[in-house]
Amino acid sequence: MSLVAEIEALEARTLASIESLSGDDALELVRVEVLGRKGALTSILRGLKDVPADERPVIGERANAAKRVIEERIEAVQSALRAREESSRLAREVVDVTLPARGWPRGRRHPLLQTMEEAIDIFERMGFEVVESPEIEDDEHNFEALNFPADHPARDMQDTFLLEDGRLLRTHCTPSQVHVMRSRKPPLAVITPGATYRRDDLDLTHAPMFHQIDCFLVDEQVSFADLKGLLTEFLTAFFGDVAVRFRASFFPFVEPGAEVDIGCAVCRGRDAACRVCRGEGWLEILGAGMIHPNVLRAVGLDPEAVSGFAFGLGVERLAMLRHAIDDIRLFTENDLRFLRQF
Amino acid sequence: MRVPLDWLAEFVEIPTDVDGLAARLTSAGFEVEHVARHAVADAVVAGTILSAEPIAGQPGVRACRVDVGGERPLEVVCGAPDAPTGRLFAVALPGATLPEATVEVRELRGRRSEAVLCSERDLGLGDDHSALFALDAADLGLSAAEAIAPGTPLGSLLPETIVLDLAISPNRGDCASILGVAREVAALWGSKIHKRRQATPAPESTDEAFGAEIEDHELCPWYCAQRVQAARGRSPFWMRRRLTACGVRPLGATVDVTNYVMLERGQPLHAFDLDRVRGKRLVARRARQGERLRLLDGRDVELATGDLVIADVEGPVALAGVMGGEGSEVGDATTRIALESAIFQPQTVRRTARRLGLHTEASFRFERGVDPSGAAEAVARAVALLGQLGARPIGRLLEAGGPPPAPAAIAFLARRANALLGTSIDSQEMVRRLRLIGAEPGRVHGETIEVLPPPYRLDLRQPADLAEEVARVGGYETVPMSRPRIPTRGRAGAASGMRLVRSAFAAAGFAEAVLLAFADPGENRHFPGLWSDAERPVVLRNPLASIASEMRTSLLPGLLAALRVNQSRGESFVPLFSVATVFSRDASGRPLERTDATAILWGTLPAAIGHAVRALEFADLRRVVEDVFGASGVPLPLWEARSDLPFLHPGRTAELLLDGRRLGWAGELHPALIPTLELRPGPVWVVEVDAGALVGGRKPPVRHAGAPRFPSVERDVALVVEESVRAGTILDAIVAQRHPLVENASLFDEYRGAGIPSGHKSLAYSISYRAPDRTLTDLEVNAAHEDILAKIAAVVPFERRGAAVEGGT
Repeated sequence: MSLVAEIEALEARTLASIESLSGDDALELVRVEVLGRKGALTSILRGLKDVPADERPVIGERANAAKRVIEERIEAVQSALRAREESSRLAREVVDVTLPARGWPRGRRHPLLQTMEEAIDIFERMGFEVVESPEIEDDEHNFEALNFPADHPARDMQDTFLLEDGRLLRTHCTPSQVHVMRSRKPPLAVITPGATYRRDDLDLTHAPMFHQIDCFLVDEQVSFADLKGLLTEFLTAFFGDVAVRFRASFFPFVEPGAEVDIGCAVCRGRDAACRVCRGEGWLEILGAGMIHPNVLRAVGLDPEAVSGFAFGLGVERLAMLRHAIDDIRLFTENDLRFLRQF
Repeated sequence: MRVPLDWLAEFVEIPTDVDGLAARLTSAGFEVEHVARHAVADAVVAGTILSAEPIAGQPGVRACRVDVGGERPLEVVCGAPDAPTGRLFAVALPGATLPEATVEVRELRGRRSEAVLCSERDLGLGDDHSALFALDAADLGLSAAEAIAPGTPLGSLLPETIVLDLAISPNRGDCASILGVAREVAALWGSKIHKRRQATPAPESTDEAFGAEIEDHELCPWYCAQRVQAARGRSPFWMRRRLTACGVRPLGATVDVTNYVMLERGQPLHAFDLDRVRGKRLVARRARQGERLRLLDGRDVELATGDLVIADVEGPVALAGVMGGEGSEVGDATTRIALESAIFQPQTVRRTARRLGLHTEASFRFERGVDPSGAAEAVARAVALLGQLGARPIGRLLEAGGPPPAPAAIAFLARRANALLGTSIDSQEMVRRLRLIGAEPGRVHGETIEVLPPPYRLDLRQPADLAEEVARVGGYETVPMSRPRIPTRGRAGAASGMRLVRSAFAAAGFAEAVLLAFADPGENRHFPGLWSDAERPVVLRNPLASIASEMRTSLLPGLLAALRVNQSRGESFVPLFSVATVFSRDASGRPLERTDATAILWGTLPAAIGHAVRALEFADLRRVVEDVFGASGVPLPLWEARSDLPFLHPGRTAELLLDGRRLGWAGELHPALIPTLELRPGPVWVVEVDAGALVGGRKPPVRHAGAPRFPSVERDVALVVEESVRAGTILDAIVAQRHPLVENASLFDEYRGAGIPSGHKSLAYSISYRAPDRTLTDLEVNAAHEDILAKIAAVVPFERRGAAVEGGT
C-alpha cells in the first residue's frame, strides 16, 4: 500500500472513530494516538525516507492535510461537546428570579426633608445661596429688626417660646436676613431652610416645631413684579403647571405684603365640598412681599438705594399638598409604615 | 370681625353679590373666613291674638284664637306668661322648621293646637324665652309706615342676614368696624360712603359739676365724657339682632348702645353709673403701687404702675381700654351714666390686657389703634341712639386733652412707587387710587407729591405703604411679572454636606426620622449627648403643657421614643436615623447649637429565603458607621473602647476618634435602660456622631498614586493572646511600625476553642508585603515578617499558633 493510501485509510478510520466518541478525554487520546510524536500518522511519515525525493512533497502535503482535517474534526467535536456541557450546567444553575432580595430593606429619606431639598434645589438652580442661621435667637433678630415693635399686636401672629435668659426659639427663618444683610453687602440672593418654633399645640394642622425656607433677594431695582415672576417660576417648577394668585396681606417685615395661593389641583375649583381647599379653589401656600424699608434701615441699608423681596415657605404645607397628607403629626410620629411609603 | 351686610349697606352701596364681595375683600387683604346666613324659618307669619282663655286645671296655659290672615282664626295652646290680645306676634304654622322643633297640628293639654306662638328663642333670634316675640315696626327696625298685617310672612319683615367673618390683620385696626369695612368697600369699588343724618336730642341742662381729667397725657391724649340719662330695659330687637350677629351678647339698652357704636365705628365706649362715680370726677392716670380693682367679670386684680386706669376720687374705677370696674357698673337701677369715649395709647392697653389675660373687644381695637379723630363723633352717635330710646344727654360734652396729631404727609414719588412695584402706572392714576382710600394729595414739589393719609389709617407712614395701597386698590393681579437678575455666588453651604450624610444613612438601610426638638429634663439627664460636662441644657420659660420643657441635648431620646412607637406597632426591625440640631449652653450661659447624626438599630434582620433570621451585632453597627464615614468622604475613625458612659453598655461601646478628636460614640444602649424606657427586649445599637465632623471643610482632591507594578506577597499569622487583648491593639502595633515593605494588614479570624488555652483566643492576621521597585524575595519577606512579629511581641505577649499558612500573589 502506498503511503498516500495508508494516510487516507488512517484519516478515514480516525474520523470515523471521532464520531463515535463522546468524552473530552477520549478525543485527547485520539489526538495523541494519531497525531502525537509516537502517533500513527507520525509513524507513517517515518516511511517517507524510503520514498523517492520527488514524491515526498505530495505525500507530505497529503499527511499535513490529513493532520489538519483530523485536528479540525477533534476541535469541532470538542467544542460541540463543551457547548453541550455548558448548556446543561447552565440548565442546572437556574434560579427563581422572582425570589425576594436578601439583606436590609432599603432606607428612606423623610418626605418632609425630601420636599425641603427639592425646593432648595430649585432655588439653587436659580442662583440662590443656602445660608444656615441659628435656631436660638434674640428678640432683636427675630422681631425688633424685622419691624415687629414691642407691644405691637403683630407679635400675636407668632406665639413665641422664650428661654430663661430672654432669648427665644426663632419663630421663622427670617432672622437670617438680618444676619446676612448686616454682615455682607448686596447683591444678595439667599435662602435659609430650617426648623422654626411657635407655641401651638400639636393638632391636625399645627405643630410647635415646623420647617421653613426663607428666601430673599436684595439688589438695586428689585421689584414686586420680580417677586411675582420668581415665585410663579418656583411654584411651577415645584408643583408643575399651576395657577398662582397673589393677594394683599400683612407681615411686619414686608411692604407691600402678599399672601400667595395656588389653584387646588384636586378639584380645580370645581368641587364646593373639596376636602383639600374646602371648595375655595385656592390653597394658601406662602407669605411674601417687598422687604420693609424699616428692615433695610435696621440692617444699615438705604431703602432709597436698594430694594428686595422676601418670602417664606412652609415646608410641611408643601409636603402635605404634594403627598396628600392631611395630618401634620404624621411627620414627627416616625411610624415606619408611613416613612416607608416615600 | 363679623360684618352683617344689611348693616354695611347703611354705609355703602354693596356693589356685587356675596361671593364677589368676599373674593374682592379677600384679595385686598381681608380674608373672608366664613359666610353665615341667618334667616327666619319659612311658614312663620304675623298673627294677632284675638282671645286668650285660661284652660281649666292647667295653670299658666291658655287657649288662644289667633288671626293669621286666613279664613278663620287658628286654635293655639300657649304657655307663655302673657298672651296679650290685640297685638301682633310671630306664629309658626304647621310645617315650619324651627331650630328646636318642627311645627305640626297636635293635641296639647287636651286641646287642638294648630300653630305655635313663638318666643325669640323659639325662632333662633335670641336668648329670650320669657315672652312671646312681639312684632312692632319700630322694634324690628322698620319705618312706622310699614304696617304689619296678620299673615305677613316674618321673612319679609326680617330678611335673611348675611354675615361675613373677616380676618383683620394687625395693621388694619381701622377695619374692626362696620364703617371701616364700608370705607374699604367704597375704596375698592370707587363708591361713596353714605352721609347719615341723625337727630341729636337736646341736652337737659344741669348745674351739677362733673370733671373729666387727664393726668398722663402720653397714655391718654384725649378723654371725652358725656353724661346721659340711662336707657331702661332691653334695646330694640333690631339692635339686639345685629349685636348677636356680631357675636356680642345683648345686656341691656344702655350697654348695648355702647357696644353697637363700637361695632359700627370702631371706637370703644364705656358707660359708668354716674351716681356711683365718687367725687364727681373721672381721671385718666397711671395706677399707683398696690392699687386693686374688681372688674366687671368679677375678678379682683392687682394693678401695675404701668397700667392706665380711670379713677374717681377714691381709686380706680376702670382699666382704661380693657374692662370697667364692678363698682361703677351700669345696672337696672342706673338712672344716669357717664359715657366715656377716649384715645388710649395702644401699647399700654396691650401690656395690661396681656398681663391680665383680658382680651376684650375694646382692648382688641385700642391695641390696633382707633381713629384718633373719632372719639367725639362716637359719643354723638351713642347720644343719638340713646335719644331714640328716650334717654336725653345731660349737660355738654366734657373733654380733656384733644385729638392726637394727625398723621404726617408722606412724600410720594410715582416713579419710585413704580420702581418698587415693577409697574408703569401713571402718576394721575396713582393719585386717583390714593384718593379712593381717603388720602389727600397735597402740595407738589417737582415729581414729589405730599400725600396726607386719612386720619384713621395709622398704618400709612412711608412711601412703601402708599405703594402697597396703589397695588392693592388696583389689584395685585394687575402687577406684571418679571424675572429678576440673580447674583449667583455658587457657594455650597454645610447643607449640601448634611445631605450626603443623610443619603449615606438611607443608603445603609436606615429610615429618616424628624423629631420634635423638645426634651424633658429626665431625658436630657439620661442622654447628655456629646456635650461636655460643663454645659447645661437650654430651658424654656413658657413650654406648652403638652410638650417637654427643655431643648434636647441629644437626638437619642427622640429616636428611642420612635422605636417604642414602632415596636408597639409590631415592627421587628427598626433602623432609624436623624440629622438635626441639638442644644446646650456653655459655662458662660451662651446657647450652643450643633448638628448631630444619630441612628438606632433594633431587632432582627428580616429572614431571607434559605437564610435564618439573624440578630444584629456590633459588627453591623460598625458597618453602618464605616459606610456613613466613607460616603461622607471622611477618613474612618479609630474605635476606642469606653466603659464609662452611663447610657451605653460598658462592654460594648466605642468612642470614635479622628486625629485625637472625639467625633461620637457607637455601642449598645445600656440594657438597664430598656425597661425604664418601656422598650421591648433585645439590644438597641446606637451611634451618635457630631455631623459637622462628617461634613468638614473642602477637602483637597485625591492624588492618584498609580497601580503597583510588582506583585505583593502575603503572610498570614495566628497569634494566641489573652482574652483581654483587643484585636485592634495588635493591628495598631503593626501599622504603627510603618515598615516600608508592609502594604496592608488585616484581621481575618478570631477563634476560641479546641487547641486554645482557656482565657485566651487566637487572632489571625494577614499581612501583605510589597516593594514599589522590585519583586520581593522570600528571604526579604520572611525577614520583614519576623521583624514585625518581634515588635508586636514587645507590645502584646503572644504565642504563635501552629504553622502559619503562607502564600503569595
